Amino acid sequence: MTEGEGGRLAELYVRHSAEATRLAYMLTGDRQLAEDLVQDAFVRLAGRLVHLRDPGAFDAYLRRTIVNLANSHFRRKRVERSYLDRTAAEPPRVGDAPDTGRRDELWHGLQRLPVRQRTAIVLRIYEDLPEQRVADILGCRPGTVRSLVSRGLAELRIHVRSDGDG
Amino acid sequence: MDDDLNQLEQVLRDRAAEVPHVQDVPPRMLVRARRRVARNALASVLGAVLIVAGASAGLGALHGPGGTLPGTSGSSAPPSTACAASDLQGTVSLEGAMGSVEGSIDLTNVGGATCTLTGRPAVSISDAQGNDVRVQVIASEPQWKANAAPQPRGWPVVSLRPGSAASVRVRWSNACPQLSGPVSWKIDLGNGAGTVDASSADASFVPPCNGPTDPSTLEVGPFEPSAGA
Repeated sequence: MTEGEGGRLAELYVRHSAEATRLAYMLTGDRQLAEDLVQDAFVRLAGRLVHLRDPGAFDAYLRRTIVNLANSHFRRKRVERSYLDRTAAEPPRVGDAPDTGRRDELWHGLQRLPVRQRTAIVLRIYEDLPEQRVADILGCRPGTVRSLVSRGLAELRIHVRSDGDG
Repeated sequence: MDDDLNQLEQVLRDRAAEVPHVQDVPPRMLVRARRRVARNALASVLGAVLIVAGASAGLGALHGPGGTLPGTSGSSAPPSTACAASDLQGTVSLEGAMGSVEGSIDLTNVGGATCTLTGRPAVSISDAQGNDVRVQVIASEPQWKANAAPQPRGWPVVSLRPGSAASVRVRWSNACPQLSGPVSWKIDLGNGAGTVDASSADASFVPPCNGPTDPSTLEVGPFEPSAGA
């Protein structure tokens, strides 16, 4: 990598890493893991900068890479189950604001969803992407995205209610 | 369910706000990136050697008795010169949108020669006191793509004849605490080409403060030919 390419990668990191880390944090529920995934994503994309003729496409590439890395992380490490067990065991934090408990329940509930449902919800609700773009990223049809979001939200409501009841 | 959705969206925004807006470049990441690129380059060289060997064999066959191969020489593009900040005059044109201001920064070539702009500039805003306004910059698509228009010729390279203009799409939202203007815009062209100050009567246009705990966002598109050019 030339000095110029290194500089370009550093510049892209400064511009895009915060938003990428937020997305990775939504997908993993873990700040440190999110930062690691983002660094992995930039290392991967470094090799493709030369071929990236459309600079405007970088954020789309980055988003797709983050989603893929998060998915493979959960698949490869097989940590989803243990992570879910761990987070399920965490007592919900209760703060001063009356809604804080419910908000924590929603956050932990989201992290307990299957990774594809969670990804679809985060891309639709947090990133505000159209169904077609989410479908492109997940490699499925827009109808499947609709169904993943709707099933995810239904499960989330059940999680939150049962937590609230318990 | 709308309430649940709104609350979930708010939860996600709150959690997102935990991540700092600006992150230092981890030196270790750059080292890993260099290693990866070096590995890829080695693989490319090996691949190129094989391709060149194959192509030479093919050309040798074509250049056999009576064989001709038209149009294989003199096809390289003429060298282009990147625009320097001193070649450009910047103007900001904004109008109010739902909770934000949006429009474009136009950069007109006031130099004497054709020059080119490529990529996405780093745009920053400062308040009347000259302090940087903290914004979270988000890369957005060019206007032609948003309009589903055909890709401009040569894009992402924008070639500017003297007097013609390039445009950068911007959308700025949620400036808190509420700014009373005027603000000034700086456009860093990148690659050491310098910074252009852009101003106009509209430069005092600032977005409303809708969420004091949410970041102010500035969507910036890549250079594209100005619609008016």
